[in-house]
Amino acid sequence: MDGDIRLRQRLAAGDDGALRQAYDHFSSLVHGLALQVTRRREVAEEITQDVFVHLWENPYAFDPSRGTLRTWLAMLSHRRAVDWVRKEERQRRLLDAVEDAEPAVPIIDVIIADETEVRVRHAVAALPQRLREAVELAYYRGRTYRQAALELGLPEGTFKSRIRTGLRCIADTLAEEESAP
Amino acid sequence: MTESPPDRRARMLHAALSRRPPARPAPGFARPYAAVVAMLDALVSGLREAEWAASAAGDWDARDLVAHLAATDGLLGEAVAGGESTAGDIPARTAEAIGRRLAPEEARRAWRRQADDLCDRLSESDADRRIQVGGVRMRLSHHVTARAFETWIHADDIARATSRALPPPPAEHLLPIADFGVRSLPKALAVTGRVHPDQVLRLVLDGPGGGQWTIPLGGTAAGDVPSAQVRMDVVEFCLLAGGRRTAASVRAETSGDPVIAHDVLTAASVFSGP
Repeated sequence: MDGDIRLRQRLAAGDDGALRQAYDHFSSLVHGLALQVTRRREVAEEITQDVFVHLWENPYAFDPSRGTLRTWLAMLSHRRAVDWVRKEERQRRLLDAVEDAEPAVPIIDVIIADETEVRVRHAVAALPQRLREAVELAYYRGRTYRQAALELGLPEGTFKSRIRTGLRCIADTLAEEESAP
Repeated sequence: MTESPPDRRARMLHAALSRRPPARPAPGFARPYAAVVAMLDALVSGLREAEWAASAAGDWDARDLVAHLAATDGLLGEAVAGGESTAGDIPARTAEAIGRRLAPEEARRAWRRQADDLCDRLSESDADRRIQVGGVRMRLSHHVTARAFETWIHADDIARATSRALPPPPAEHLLPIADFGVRSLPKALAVTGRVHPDQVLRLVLDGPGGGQWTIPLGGTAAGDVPSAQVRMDVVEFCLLAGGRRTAASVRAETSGDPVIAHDVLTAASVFSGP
């Protein structure tokens, strides 16, 4: 195997043999780390692919004067795996919270714990009106689900389903922002 | 459902190569060119809007340099097809290309497409055909090496202007580029009026892609006993020949006749452009 400096030169020079070489040497390491963190085989496979595509597309991002390619790839894999787990956790917490009829802690606090309030408010503001008013009553004006449903003249079931849809939209918006470059 | 390891490898390669094409396959003499084209492409593909506009060489920003390279590559393409161009065609075509004010991404794509087309049109049997590009008549293979040299120098300009570390081309591509610079030295001395008939220079270039050359500096050199020796890093030499170092700023060790050594370092960059 070429040294890191030469391998990077070959990657920069568009030599796909260098990419094959890097993959053959480091894909088990990258995959293993991603699997350890995500515990999902297909997710680890996606992350492995992303890591090597990233290396190929950004050959200058890796700087051999700062560390080895092995460490750089391992860190990239670990970071992507942790990001995936965080996103999953956030979505699960949201859905779990919605399942409770009356959340002890407003769900919006769960989101704010992770995200800045401004981003959440933007996401709320971007909701279609019927979803937005449901979310605002329940989480910004402190109504119980029952009170809020009454105020809007809706059956409680319908109100809850609007809340659920609204929160999913917010979670999706935040997740998209996060994965944007 | 998980794929077999060979499928995963093939899928990764497909995804990677469809996002960034590899260096274009080319005959041996054109491989350094195809490689530095891929280097520059990877570099400018990652530039942000403001970085495209950063001054990189004289008054030129990255977009202007890409336009300049495309203009000069275009003249080579025409010469391959049987045309000829004069020295004045290079600035004229460059001005025209810069004047088009293509968006950076558009300029990058057009330049890369033309460079790949050029690689496709070259064949090993054309290597020794003498063609005239920008007023210089020499072998087609040497013209292509000159394009590789200039493309790399401008890639380095852009990398410096945008605070990125550009590695030199891999040794197998750097060697022919350095060799081209070395072989231009006698002519460089001649056009700058620093002739040393019957003298021999020993040039040692260190690092991957380097080597040792014994060069007659004109006339009929008597034997191969060098009158002067110059030793430096191969990348430093290329930057000197490319006009990015001067005789005063280049890191070089000299011995033997100091006038010859000085003249060589001074004349080396005479063929470099902006």
